[in-house]
Amino acid sequence: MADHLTEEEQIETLKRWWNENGRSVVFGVVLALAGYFGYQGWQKHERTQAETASNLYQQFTRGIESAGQGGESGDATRIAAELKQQFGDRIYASQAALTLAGQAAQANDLETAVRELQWVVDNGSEEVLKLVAKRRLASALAGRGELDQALALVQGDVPESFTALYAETRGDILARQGKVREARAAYQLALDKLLPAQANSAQLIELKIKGLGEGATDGAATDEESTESAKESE
Amino acid sequence: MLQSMRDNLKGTAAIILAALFGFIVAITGIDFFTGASGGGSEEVASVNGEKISEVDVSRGVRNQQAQMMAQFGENLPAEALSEDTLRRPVIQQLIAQAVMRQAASESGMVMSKEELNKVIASLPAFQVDGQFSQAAFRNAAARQGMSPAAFQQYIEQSLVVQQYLEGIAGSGFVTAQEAKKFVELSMEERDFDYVVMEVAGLLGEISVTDAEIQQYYDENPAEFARPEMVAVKYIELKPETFAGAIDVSEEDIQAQYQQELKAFQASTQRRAAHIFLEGDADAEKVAEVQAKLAAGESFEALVTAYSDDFASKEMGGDLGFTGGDVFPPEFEEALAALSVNEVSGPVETADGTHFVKLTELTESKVPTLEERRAEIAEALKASRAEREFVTALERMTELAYNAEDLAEVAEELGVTVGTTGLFSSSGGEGITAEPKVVAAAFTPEVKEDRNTSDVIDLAEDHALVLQVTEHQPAGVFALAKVAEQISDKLKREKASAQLAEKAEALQAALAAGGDFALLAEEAGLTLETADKSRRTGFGERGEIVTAAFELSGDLPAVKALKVNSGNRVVLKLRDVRPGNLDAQPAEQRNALLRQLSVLDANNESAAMEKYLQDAADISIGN
Repeated sequence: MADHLTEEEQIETLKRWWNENGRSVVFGVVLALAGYFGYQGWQKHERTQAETASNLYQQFTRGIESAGQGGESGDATRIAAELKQQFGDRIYASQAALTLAGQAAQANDLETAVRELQWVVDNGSEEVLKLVAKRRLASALAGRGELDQALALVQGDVPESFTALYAETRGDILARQGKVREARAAYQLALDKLLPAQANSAQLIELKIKGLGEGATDGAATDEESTESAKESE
Repeated sequence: MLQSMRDNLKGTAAIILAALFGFIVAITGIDFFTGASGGGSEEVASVNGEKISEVDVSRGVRNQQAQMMAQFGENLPAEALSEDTLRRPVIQQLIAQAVMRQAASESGMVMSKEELNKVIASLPAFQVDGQFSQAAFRNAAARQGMSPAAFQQYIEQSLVVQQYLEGIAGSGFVTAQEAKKFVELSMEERDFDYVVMEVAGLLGEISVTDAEIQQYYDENPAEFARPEMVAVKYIELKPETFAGAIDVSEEDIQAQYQQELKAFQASTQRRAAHIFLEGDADAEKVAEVQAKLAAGESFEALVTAYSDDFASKEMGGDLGFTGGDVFPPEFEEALAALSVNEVSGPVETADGTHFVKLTELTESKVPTLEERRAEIAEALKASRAEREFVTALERMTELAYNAEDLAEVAEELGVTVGTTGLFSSSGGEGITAEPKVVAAAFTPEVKEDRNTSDVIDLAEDHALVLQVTEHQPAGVFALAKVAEQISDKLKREKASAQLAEKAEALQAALAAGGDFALLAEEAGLTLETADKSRRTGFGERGEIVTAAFELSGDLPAVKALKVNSGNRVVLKLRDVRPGNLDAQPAEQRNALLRQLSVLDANNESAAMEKYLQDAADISIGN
C-alpha cells in the first residue's frame, strides 16, 4: 500500500494514524503492562502465602510423626489451630484437622474427633475432603451413640463415587438402630455401587448383611423352599 | 524508505507485542510455547487440556519395566514386560496421576524451595556415600529425559500429590464400636446339633419315567449346554518317529568305534607341577636349579625356594590336569615325554623357564567294541533320526500348505496320521492338552474351512500339523447322553420330597421342646454335634454351617433344610457366642484395628480418585 507514497506522505499517514489512535494504543499498553505486573504480583503473593501454609503443615506432620514415635508432638495441636486461623480457607487446615481427628479417634477420644471433623465439614475448602470428613463424622458420632445425628449426615444424595461408602456407614447406623430391613437395603446398595478399587470390602459388607440375622441374606429363598417342600409332600 | 517505517513501527508494535507475549506467558506458563512435556510429541491422552504425550508414555513404560525387573528379577516372562502389556495400564496411571496433580495444585498445595531442597537432599537416590550429590541428581534427571529444573519441578509435584493423598490415607480410623462389631460377627461361634436324612437309601425304590426325564430336559436347556467342539487328525513329527525305521550297519558302528579310539588317545590326562623362573632365563639360576635337581634335592623344596609362580607355589607347584591342550605346546611336549614323578630339563616358553614334573597320569582303559556297541548304535540312530526329522519337517511344511488331505502328506512322508476325539476350546488329553494345538484347531480357517493348520512347533524337535475332521457347533447335549444324570437328579428330588414330611415333623417336635437325642434315636438317625463352629466350611458341612449362622440368635432355634445332594437336614441351635474383641491379645487387636482402618482409608482414596476423575475432562486417543 505504501509503495507509491513518498516518504513525507508516509510519515504524514503515520502521524495521522497516531493522532487518531495514539491514546488508545498507549492506554492498551498501560493496561497490558498493569495487568501483567498485577498478575505477577498477585501470583507471587499467592505463592508466598501457599508456601507459608505448606511449611506450617510440614511442621505439623513432623510433630505428629514424632508424637507417634513417642517423641514430643511439637505442638501439633497449636500449629493446627494456627493453620485454621490464618489459612482456614486452604486445604492444609482441613488436612491437619482430619489428621488430628484420626489420631483422636484411634485413641478413643471421640469428642475431639467430632470437633475436628465438624470443623472440616463447616469450614473446609475442598469438596472432596468435606465428603470424606462428613462420613467420618457420622461414624464418630455413631461411636458416641448419637445415632440420629449420625444418620442425618449420611442420608441424601452424594456423588456416585461416594455412594458405596455412605451407604455402608448408613447400614452400620441403621443396624444399630435395629432397622434391619433398611440396613440390609443400605448394605445391598453399598455392594452394588462398590468401585472396582473397593472390591476388597465386598466380603466385609456381606458379613455385615449376614450379621443382620435370619431372612437378611435371602429371606425369599428359605420361604420358597418350605413352600416347595410342603407342595411336594402333598 | 520502507525501512524507516518499519523502524517507526518497531517501537510501538514491539511494546504491544512484548506486553501481550508477557501476558500469555504469565497466564499460561511457559508451557504454552514449548508444549507441556513432550514438545511436538504425539498426544496420547489429555486431562483437562493437559497433554499426555508419547514421550510421557514411553518414559512411564520404561520406569515400570525397571521397577518390575528390580522387584521380580529375571524370572519374569518377557511378555509381562512388553510394551504391549504395559502401555494401557501406564496410560491409565498417567491419567490418574495428572488428575491428582491438577487437583493438588488447584487446591493450592505447593512446596517451598527450602522444603523441596531438604527433601531432595534426603532421598537416597540422589546420594553418594550418604551425601547429596549434585551429579547423581543430574544423572537421575537425564535418565528421565528432563532438565534438572524440570526434574525438580516434577519432584515437587510428586511430593505434593503424595501429601494430598496422605492427608486422607493417613487420617482414617475405625471406632472401637465398629471394631467390636466386626469381631462379634467374624469370630462368632455357634453350637448346634443336627441330623442328616440321607436320600441314598431311598433311591433304589424310586422310579422315574422317560416322560419325566424328557420334560426336565426340555425345561432346563441351560443345564445341558455343550460347548463347540472339534475333532482333528494330525501328523506329529519327532526324531523318535523315524528312529524305529533306521538300521545301523556293522560298518558304521566299526567306523564310529575307530573314531572314538582316536579321540580316546587324546583323552589321557596328565597332572603337572612346575618350578617357574620368570622372564628371560637367568642362566645361572637355571643351572643352579638343574644341578640341585640332578643332585636329587626334593622337587617341592625347590618349588618353595625358586618358583616365581605364586599361585602354584603354595601347592608344591601343582598346576592340575591337562588333556594336552591346557599349557603352551613346548610345555605339553615336555610333559608328554615324562614318566610319572620324572622331572624335565629346563623348558622355555614365552613366559619364562619351567622345570616340569609329571605327578599323575590317568589313562582310562580303552573300551572294547562290544562294550561300546549298543551305545554307538543308539547315538548313530538318534543323529540320523534327527536329520530325517529336519528333512521331513521341511517337507511337511511345504506339502501341508497345499494339501487337501493330511493323509496324502503322511503317505508322502512315510508316517502315520493320528486322530483325536472331540474336544472343546478348553482342551483335552494327549496332544489336545497343548494350548497351541487347541488354538490352531479353533481358528476359523481350520475349523470351518477345513484347511490344514500351520505347522505348530511344540518344542525344538516336536512339530505337528492338523486338520479338522469334525466340527460340532455349540448346542445342547443329546438327551441320551444326559438321561442318566437327569434320572439321578429326579430320583434325588423325589426321595428328598419323601423325606420332607419326616423332616418337618422332626422340626415341629423339636420346636415343641422335644429332646433331640431321643427323637433322633426313635427315627433311627445319628445325632451329630457341631460345637464352636465358625462361619466357614465346605461341601455339605459348609451348607449346614451356613444355615446355622442364618438363624437369628434367639434360642432355641430349629431349622430344616435341603442340601444340594437332596439330603434333608434338621438342626437345632444351642448356643451363640459373638466374638469378643477384648478377649484378643493386644497385638492381634491392634493389628486388626490397623487392618480395618487401612481398608477404610483405601476405600476413601479410591472414592476420591474416582470423584476427581469423574469431574475431569479426559480423552484418550489411541
